[in-house]
Amino acid sequence: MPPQNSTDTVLSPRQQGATGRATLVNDWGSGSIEFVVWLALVALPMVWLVTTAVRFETALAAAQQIAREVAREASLGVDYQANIATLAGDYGLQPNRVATQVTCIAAPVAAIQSSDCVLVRASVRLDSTPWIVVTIPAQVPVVKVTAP
Amino acid sequence: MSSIPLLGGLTAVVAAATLTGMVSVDLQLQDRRVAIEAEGLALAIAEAAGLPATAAAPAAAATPGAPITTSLQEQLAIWLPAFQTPSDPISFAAATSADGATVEVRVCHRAKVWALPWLDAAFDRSQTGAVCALGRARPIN
Repeated sequence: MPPQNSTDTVLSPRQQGATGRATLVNDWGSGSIEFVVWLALVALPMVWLVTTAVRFETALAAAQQIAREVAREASLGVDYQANIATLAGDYGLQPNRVATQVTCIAAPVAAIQSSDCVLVRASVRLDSTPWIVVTIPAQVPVVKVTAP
Repeated sequence: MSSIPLLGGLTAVVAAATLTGMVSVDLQLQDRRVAIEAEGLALAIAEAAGLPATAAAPAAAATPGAPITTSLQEQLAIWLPAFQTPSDPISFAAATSADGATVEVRVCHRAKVWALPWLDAAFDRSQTGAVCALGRARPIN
C-alpha cells in the first residue's frame, strides 16, 4: 500500500522486524509537541496579554465617560457622589474600583466677577489606570425648575 | 513537516491585529479627550465672553495676518492655562466666531509618534502631527 500522505513513512523490511508486518510511523507527534509548546510559550501568554490590554483600554474608555458625567453633575451642583455607584454599574464596574476627585477652580483672573468655583475639574481613576481629567465650567442656572 | 512556520505566522497575524486594535482604540480615546477639552474651553469662553457685545467679527488666531477678535483671544488666553495638562499640553488653540453668536474653539495636541504606519489611511496624522477638535458653545442670555 502506498504511503497515505507525505508524512507517512513505510518501514523497510529490516525495520519491520520478525513479524514482517508493515507499520506506519508519522511525524505528527513532533507537530503535536510543537503545538503544545507554542500554546504554552506563545498563545496563552498572548491571550493573557491581549485580554489585559483590552481590559485596560476598556477601563480607560469607561473612566473617560464617568469623568465626563461626574464633571457635568458637579458643575450642575448635583450630588455626584451619590450617583457614582450607578455610573459605575452602567459600565459593569464595582463602585469601589472607581476613585473620583472633584476640585473647583477659581477664576483665572480677578477681573472675572464670579464665584470661587468657576471651573469644575473631575478626575476619575479605575484601579491602576492613569487619572482621567475632565474640566468644564460650572453651569450658570438660567432656568429655575419648580415642582408642580 | 514542521508546524513552526504555521504557528509563527498565526502568532504574527494575531499580534498585528491586536496592536492595530489597541492603537485604534487609543487614538479614538485621544480624539474624544481633545473633543471634551475643546467643548469645555468653548463653554468657559462663551459664558465669560458676553459674546454678542464683544465678538462682532470672525477671527482666525495663530494665522499671521488674519483678523483677530481681541476679546475672544483675550478670553482664550485667560482660560487656556486652566485646561493645560503638563503631560500633554495643548499645542494650538484658537477662538473664533463666525456668526457673532457662537464661540468656536479649536484645540490641538501633538499626535502620538508611535501610531502604526499602516493606519495612516484611516488616521492620517503623520502629515499634520496633531490631534485637533472643534468645540462650539453659545451663551444664553
